[in-house]
Amino acid sequence: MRKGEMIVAALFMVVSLIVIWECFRLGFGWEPQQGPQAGMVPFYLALLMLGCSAFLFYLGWRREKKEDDNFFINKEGMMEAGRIALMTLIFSVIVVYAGVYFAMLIFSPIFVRWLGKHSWTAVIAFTVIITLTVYFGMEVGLKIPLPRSPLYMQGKFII
Amino acid sequence: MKVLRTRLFILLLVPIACVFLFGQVAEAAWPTRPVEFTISAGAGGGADKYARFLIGLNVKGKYISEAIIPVNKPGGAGAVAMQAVLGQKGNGYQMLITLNSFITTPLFQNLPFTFRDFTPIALLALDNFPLWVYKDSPYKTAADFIAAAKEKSIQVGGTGSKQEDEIVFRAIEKIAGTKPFKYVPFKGGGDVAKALVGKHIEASVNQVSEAGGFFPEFVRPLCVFQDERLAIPGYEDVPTGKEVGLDFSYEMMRAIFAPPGISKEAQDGLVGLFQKISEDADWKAFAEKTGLKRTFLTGDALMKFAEDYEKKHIDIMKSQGWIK
Amino acid sequence: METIGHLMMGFGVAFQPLSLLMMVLGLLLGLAVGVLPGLGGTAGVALLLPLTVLVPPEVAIIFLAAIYWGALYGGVITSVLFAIPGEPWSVALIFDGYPMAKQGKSGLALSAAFIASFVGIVVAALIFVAAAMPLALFALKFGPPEMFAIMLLAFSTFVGLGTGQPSKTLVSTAFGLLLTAVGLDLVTGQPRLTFGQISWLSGYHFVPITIGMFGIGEIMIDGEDRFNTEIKEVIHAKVGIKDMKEGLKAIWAFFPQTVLASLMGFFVGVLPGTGATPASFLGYGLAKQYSKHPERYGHGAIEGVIAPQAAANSAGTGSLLPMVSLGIPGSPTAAVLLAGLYMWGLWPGPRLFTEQPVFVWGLIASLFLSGTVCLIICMVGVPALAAIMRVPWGMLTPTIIIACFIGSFVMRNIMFDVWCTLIFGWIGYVMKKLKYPLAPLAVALVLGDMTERFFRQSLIMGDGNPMVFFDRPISKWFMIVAILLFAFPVFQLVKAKVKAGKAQAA
Repeated sequence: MRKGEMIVAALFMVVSLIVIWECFRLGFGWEPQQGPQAGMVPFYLALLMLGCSAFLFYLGWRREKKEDDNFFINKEGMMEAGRIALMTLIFSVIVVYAGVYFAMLIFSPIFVRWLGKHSWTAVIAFTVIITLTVYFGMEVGLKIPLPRSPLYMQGKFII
Repeated sequence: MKVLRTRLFILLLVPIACVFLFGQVAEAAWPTRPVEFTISAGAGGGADKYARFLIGLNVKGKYISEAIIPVNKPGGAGAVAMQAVLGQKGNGYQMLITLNSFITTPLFQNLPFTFRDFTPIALLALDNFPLWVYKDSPYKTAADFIAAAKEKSIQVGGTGSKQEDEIVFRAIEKIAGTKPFKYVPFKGGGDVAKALVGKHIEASVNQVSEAGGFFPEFVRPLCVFQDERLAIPGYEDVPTGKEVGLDFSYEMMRAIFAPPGISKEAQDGLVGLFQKISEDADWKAFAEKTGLKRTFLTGDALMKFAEDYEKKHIDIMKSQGWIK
Repeated sequence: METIGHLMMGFGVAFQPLSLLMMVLGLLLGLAVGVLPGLGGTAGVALLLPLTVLVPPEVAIIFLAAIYWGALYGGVITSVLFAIPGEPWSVALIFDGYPMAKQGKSGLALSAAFIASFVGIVVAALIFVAAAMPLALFALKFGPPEMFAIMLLAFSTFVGLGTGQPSKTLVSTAFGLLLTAVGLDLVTGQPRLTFGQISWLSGYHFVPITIGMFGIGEIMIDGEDRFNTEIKEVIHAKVGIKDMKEGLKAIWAFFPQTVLASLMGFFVGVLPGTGATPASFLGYGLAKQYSKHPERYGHGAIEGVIAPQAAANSAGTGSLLPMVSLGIPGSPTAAVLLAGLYMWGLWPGPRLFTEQPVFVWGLIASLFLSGTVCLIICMVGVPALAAIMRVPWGMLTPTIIIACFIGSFVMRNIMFDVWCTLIFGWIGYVMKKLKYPLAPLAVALVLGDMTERFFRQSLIMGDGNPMVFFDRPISKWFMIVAILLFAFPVFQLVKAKVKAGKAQAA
């Protein structure tokens, strides 16, 4: 936990510094007749965030190693969280580059089989049902266009 | 067990294979699927109302067999929608409804593209910019307003910053030599109209379609910045800018553009769609009610129009020091 | 008397078979779009707007309004069950609704929220009938300074929201506010914190971020918890008539609070351009501020579900009031409905009330009717909804992930939002693990953008002089109340310290 606290606090400090740097470009003064310049509100917010996260970093650094607990519940839990994170990454990358439908066709079986440990019958049923539901619900029913593959954009493919 | 697993795995491949085998689309005449209509405003915004109105006309009149689907991509004064449409090179099922920000945003935000990168479809109409004040405002005429503006800086409001509405006010400033207006930017035309009705600002340049509902109960037009007077019943007495000594005409373009590189067939189809819409009886009635100047331009004529428009905006924006 | 006559005529319109049919259809559609995260009432109304040219205007408005009510009810469901805000205004429901679901009380949370919605709509509809015009005219007095004062009031009720390390609460709040600053600055037209990326110009929207932080983050924590040997078997909710009874009892127990939240929500909804989302936060904040047991909030307090939901639904109804009476949209949804008026050949504005009584009173009467019908539909559906929780983890989770990403995309149709959901999902997981409170972040995200805008608009109006907030009669009082509310927790802290000091001395 101690390391985690310190890393996150440091990251917040970095974000604050980037914002402060940007605010110098925008100007953070008070324009007569106009009020604050574009960077003023973010500048002071970033200062506040920098101060607080520096304090949190100090708290983490000061903390005794003995009384420290782990960031993750246990090794298995950590692996599982990592696997879910990986799955969300896979899904969003395919959505962006090949559309929602390909993403669902690839993501659902992997998830249900690998993480859910269901039978292949369940895997197939799930994949087919979810893809068809989304397609008919969104595309046909509500007429909401979802991201599609580049092939669809060229008029060569249905999804 | 192992055999069963393999068999089921093959079964899994069946739906995916089906998609690939039968997923191919046969070549057919345009349109074979719904056309997306990208809108650079959120649902309920100015351009959104127009787009949805046009789509409603197609629902009623069935000008193309496929549906037109509105897709809102708000943000960045139109930049986000423009970039998205530009990215769909060759997609004949995509179009963009545009405002003057189509010309001004690339100039002001230094975007890596301009209107020249798009395929012109149609200019449907030019929308008006009347100067509004609230009903019991001390400024009875445009002359009163200008005289007062020379004395003190009047509080006015409009949509966004360094966009259409501010351009009009800055132009008045320059032509009439008034003190600088105290310009309060709002998020959309509806907000501006509200602020005027609530007397939080003293003047606005909303379109008739936005502020006209409050006339005559809450607001009054002083003049309109176009060459001829408005042809709407009840607005005959509103003078043009030129008549009151503000020789300046400025209009909002309501045009449609498509991504670059679309097929001739798709382009003709889209042009045909809007040609028919521009002759639609409901559209004509709407234009009459809101004082839209119906003008149909397409192809090179539209590009020429946009060129002239860009030149005009570069002049205005340079004189304000907004661009170099 | 005249009003009652008008209302009767309105009911005549609303009870026509075609109106009833379209209303039920609208409610079901609204519930569907409400359940899907990202796809809100505004989008639902906008989607079906072009189709309404096929029916008469008074039926069309009843249909579209029904979609909106459906969405107002439906947004609750995913918030309570999966911590995914189905609608912007149901973010506040996660704070207590989700903990309730985790304790196996999802049926109760849902029933209470639905009944609260109903109370909200009925209270709002009654005010609508009684005082539409004067209220709309009063709302016009609210300009940017007044709106800023209200936003400040909303923030002040959240001072004590983060339970934990104060510096972490501050970091969360500041981070949320900073995120809203990204994009094109409205006042100067300059791009802020976009680092040259065109897609960043649109700014961060709070829906993809909250979907990520709460939805995806919660899924990761949940997945990890499955391997936690200390947590015993997951509690399976048994749902039945009992939940509805208890829901009713809860509403009865907190009836004054529910009605007060509805009244407050209605008023905030009537104000220009705010809509239901700030109202729900204000409802939650106020309920907590004046609760006898504020420490229960955030850990599954049923009041924390009732108050924001009643406020949100009342505000949703209220936002229609300036549109109907003056032609001014009170929320994005109302703006879409306004576009409908043009399409149906009606001219919105102050004359609508007198020139189109059938249209206006049909709509008002349908408020009562759809509120009731929707409550029935929802209550019948509660057991089925709570049963969703019994779907095996390995299938429920991928469904939620798919819904999260689709939901974040359909909000604005840009891929940027898909990335946002992913990244903020991971960030949310880490922040939650390290006990950074997420509620203040959500509030900051929702209200931050509006607050800064009203602040700077006011300052332009006041020539850069901050006294502009105290010069105007209405904003003055709101500002004073807000400042007092900010000072209150500090005062209490000092009092507690003094007491402790005394105790030590003695």
